[in-house]
This record gives sequence, structure tokens and C-alpha cells, in this order.
Amino acid sequence: MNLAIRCLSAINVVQLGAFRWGAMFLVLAVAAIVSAGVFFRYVLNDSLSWSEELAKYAMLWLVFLGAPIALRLGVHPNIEIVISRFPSRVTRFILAVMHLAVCVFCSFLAMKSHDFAWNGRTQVAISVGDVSMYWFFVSIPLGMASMALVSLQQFLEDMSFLIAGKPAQQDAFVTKHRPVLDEF
Amino acid sequence: MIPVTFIWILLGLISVGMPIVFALGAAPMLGLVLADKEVFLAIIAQKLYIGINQFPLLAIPMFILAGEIMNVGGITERLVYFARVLVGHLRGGLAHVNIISSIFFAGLSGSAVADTSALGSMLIPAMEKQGYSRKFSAAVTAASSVIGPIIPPSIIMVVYAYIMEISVAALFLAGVVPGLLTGVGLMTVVSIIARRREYPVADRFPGMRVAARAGLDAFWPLLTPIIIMGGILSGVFTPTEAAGAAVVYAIILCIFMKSLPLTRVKNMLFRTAVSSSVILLAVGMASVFAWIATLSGVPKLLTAFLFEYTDNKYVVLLLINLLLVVVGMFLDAGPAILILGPILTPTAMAVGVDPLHFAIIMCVNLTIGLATPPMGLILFVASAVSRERIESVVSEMLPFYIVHIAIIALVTYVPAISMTVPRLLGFG
Repeated sequence: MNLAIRCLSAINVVQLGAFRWGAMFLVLAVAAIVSAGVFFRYVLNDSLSWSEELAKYAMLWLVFLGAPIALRLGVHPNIEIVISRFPSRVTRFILAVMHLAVCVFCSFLAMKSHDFAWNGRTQVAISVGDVSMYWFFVSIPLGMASMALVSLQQFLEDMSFLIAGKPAQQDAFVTKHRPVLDEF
Repeated sequence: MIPVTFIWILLGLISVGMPIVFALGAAPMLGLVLADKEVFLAIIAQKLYIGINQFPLLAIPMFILAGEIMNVGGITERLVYFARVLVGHLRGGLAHVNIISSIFFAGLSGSAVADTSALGSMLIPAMEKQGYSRKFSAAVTAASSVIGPIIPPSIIMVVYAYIMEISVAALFLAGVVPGLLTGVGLMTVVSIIARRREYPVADRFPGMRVAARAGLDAFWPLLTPIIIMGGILSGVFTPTEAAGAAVVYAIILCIFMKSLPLTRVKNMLFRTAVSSSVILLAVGMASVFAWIATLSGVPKLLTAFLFEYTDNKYVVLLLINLLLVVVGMFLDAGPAILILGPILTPTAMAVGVDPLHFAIIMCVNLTIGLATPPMGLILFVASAVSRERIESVVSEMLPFYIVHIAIIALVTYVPAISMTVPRLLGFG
């Protein structure tokens, strides 16, 4: 069990670490593309044909790189007030089932959205240089698969809590990046 | 026809602690499976993609980023200083400063939580030093933070306008007066409390010259909402482009003030990335939910159910407001709008409420819900920043809740308050 958690944690630290850089870059990219669009239209009087499309695709990638990070850091809003009334072991059991359900849901959606991406591979994004749409669609299955892995780790952490009676070791990614969100 | 079971599944999943974003996707999926409509499952990924890949939604990361830049760049401090010069000499000075700063800040940022954390961390310690109790300071910060998403720009308004297909610009304008009114109401309550508890004045009025200087320092930041709204209304920008312009403007301000520490830029981008993806994924999942909700005819059922008892516009609005207050106690404004917007709006329109008017009612009500216990994001942040228990902050919030309720009632029953500004500028 602990070995499994450690393996998954290592995998997730690597993938989320990469996603973190990607997402930060994409925030900059979205800002730059949107402002460039305005600048070219009103200052240079020469609209960019690709800025809207490209900004949307950058945002799509941003969402699916950022969402797994948000899941690991526990910032997707949820309501724990109902289950927190129960004794802590019961709460933990419910959370374990819930995390497993999230894992199943995300895996399922990862498969469905990969079908969608694969079926769409023949479409091309005309305004951004005839790239196959697959490269934009594929962000969805990637993000979903990544969230499935994160929630699997959360499920195992819950199970280890239930068995060992004490919380699993704090995840390295959480310890490092959670404080950044609470600044100010 | 898809049975309404999926609504109960949604409530069940949310109450066992599943992140709402997944519940919004999983409930319709289970509903489809139960109805033997598995063929629809294949479309969900496409719905999700279409729900997110929208130009108007780009405004969300842009507004978040602009707010972060202003914060990190120390622009907030200038606003607070200007507010202090303006109202610091009143009795209960710093409490008034807190509220005025919230109004200023509301024009730069679109989120209430940013307001609470930025102003709270700056003003709560200052207030404590002057003899205010910490829980009162936290309560004033929390109560005035709801102004943030009511005065434009506003992230939840962008979300609502997108989901319900109404004009963002009109909704922004509808928020101006209710937002200012909230500020006035809260300041009235503060004056009364300050007199009764003999809170101190912060400092003497420093004279016109200092005031003018502080005003000049705050002038350029305070121009942001005017650039945003002016740009949108004159047709120069779409709301998304206005958000982009706000980012560029914030960067320019920081460059002129030589105040953007690079180490914090990384953290700022990280926070923007995380909060944007949380909101946008929820919007995407909500579009899946809204699609199934419409297919299942839940709004029609609700309207029919309600009409058995009453079809009086004022009673229906009262019931909806009560429902929103209760929901707001448990849900964040964003998810609440995403779930209830598509369900309630048809009912409201059936009794003859203007869609724009209904939009502002929902936005104001659910924003205030961010500050109500037991679940309120603003309360959590105010409690964290002040290190004061939520219960004690809430006990000091009671007089402010009266103002909040009055604002909801006014916005609901006096449409002119919210609708006049958009009408004067040619909407609705």
C-alpha cells in the first residue's frame, strides 16, 4: 500500500510539476495573444486572423493542465459539512469511496474524450496554420487521465488512513505549492 | 425524456463531499445510464469541449490576472491610502476605510475572495492596533468584500452572462448602483456602531494638498474600471478584450511604479492558472449539466409545481430569493449560478421578470451568500486572515447581514435601482 502510494506520488509530482510550468506559460500566452489581438486591430488597423482561435485553444489547454493541480491541492469547491458530522473513520471511508468514484468518472471521461479527439483528428484548425484539431482536443483526455491518477492516489491515502489509523505522509507537491495559493 | 432522478443524484454526490465540478458531470451521466440513453454519453466530451472553448470565457483568466497584478504590484496599498485620506477622519475611521477600499478594489478585481485576502491582511492588523476587536475588523472586511463581484468587473457576472446568454456589459452596468448602495448601507451601520462603541478616528484630515496628492496616486489605478466599461460601451472592446486591456494596463502601471518583484510574478501566474482552471472546468461541466437539465424538462416541472400555489410575480421572487439564500449558505456563488441559473431563469421569465433584472438578483443574492455561514468562502478567508474563529466573526456580522438583506430586497422589488443605468445606456 505504502509503496503504491509512493510510486503514484512520484508519478504525480512529475506530471503535475510539468503541468505547472505549462499552465503558468499558458496564462502568459493567453494574455499576450488577447492583447496582441486588440493592439493589431486598433493600433495597427490590421486584425490578426488567428488570435481569437489560438487564445481559445491556449485556454483549453490551460484548463486541463490546471485542473489536475487544483484537484491535488484540494481547491475544487466541495461540501464537507455533511460528512464531517460523522466519526472521523466514517468520514474517511466516505471520502475514500468518493475519491474512487471521481477516479472512475475521470477515467471514463478520459476514454470518451479521447474517442472524441481521435474522431476529430481529420479536422484542421484553419486559422492557426492547418494543425490537426487532435492536438487541441487531446488536452481533455490528458487532463482527465491525470485527474484519475491524482484521485487514485487520494483514494489510496484514504485507505492507508483507514488501515493504519493515521494520515499518510503529506504529498510533496501539496507541501510545496499549497502555501502559494494562501499568500496575502 | 430523462427522469429528474439526476437532480437527486447531484445533491447526493455533492453532500458526500464530491467536488461540485465532478458531481455536475457525473450526475447527468448516471441519469443518462438510468434512462437507457447511453448513446448520449458519447456526446458529453464534445459538450464539455464546446462549453469551455468560448471566446467570452477568456475574460475570466484575464480579470483574475489583472487583479493579481494590481495586488502584487502594490496598487492596492495606494487605494487604501487614498481611502484613508478621504474617510480616515470619521469616527470609526479605519472601518470606513475598509469599506471604501472595497468599493475602489471592486472596480479593479472581479472576485470577492481577492478583496477579502488583500484588504484583510492589510487592514485587520491596522484596525487591531487602533483598538478595534479583531472579530469586528474581520467582520467589516468580510461584509464589504461582497461589493467586489457586484461592482464591475465581475467574474461571476461573466459566467452568468455566458451560461444564460445575456449581455455582459448590461449585467456589469446593472451592478453599479447596487454595489455602491451596499457600501453606503454598510458605512451607515459602521457609523452607528462606531458611535456606540466609541471607536477612534484614524487620523485628522491631512489637508487638501495631501488629499490631492493621494488622489493623484490613486487616480491611474482607479481609471481601470472606466477603461474597462468605457471600452466595452463605446464598442472598442469586447468584454474579453477589455479584460486583456486591463491586464496590459495593470502591467504598465506596475512598470511606472517600478514595483513588480519577479519572484512573486511566478506565484501570481500559478495562482491565476489554478483559479482560472477551477472556474472554467466548472463552467464546462455545467454546460453538460444544463444540457441534460433542459432535456429532462426540470425547469418546466419546477414552474408547473410553483404555479399550482402561486403565479404572483412578487411571491415567486420572494420564494426564489429564499431558496438562493439557503443555497448560498452552502454553495459558492459560481457553482450555485451554474446549477440554478438554467433551472430558475425560465420560471422567473414565466412570471414576467426581465432576464437582466433576474440576473442581477441572482448575482447579488449569491454573492452575499459567500459571506453567510456555515459555508462561505469570504468568511473562511476572513477567518484565516484574522486568525479569529468563524463563529465569532459571524457574531459581529449580524448588523451587516441586515444591510445585505435590505439590499437583496431593494434590488428585487425596486427594479429601477439596477435597471436604470443599463437602460440609460441603451440596454433592455
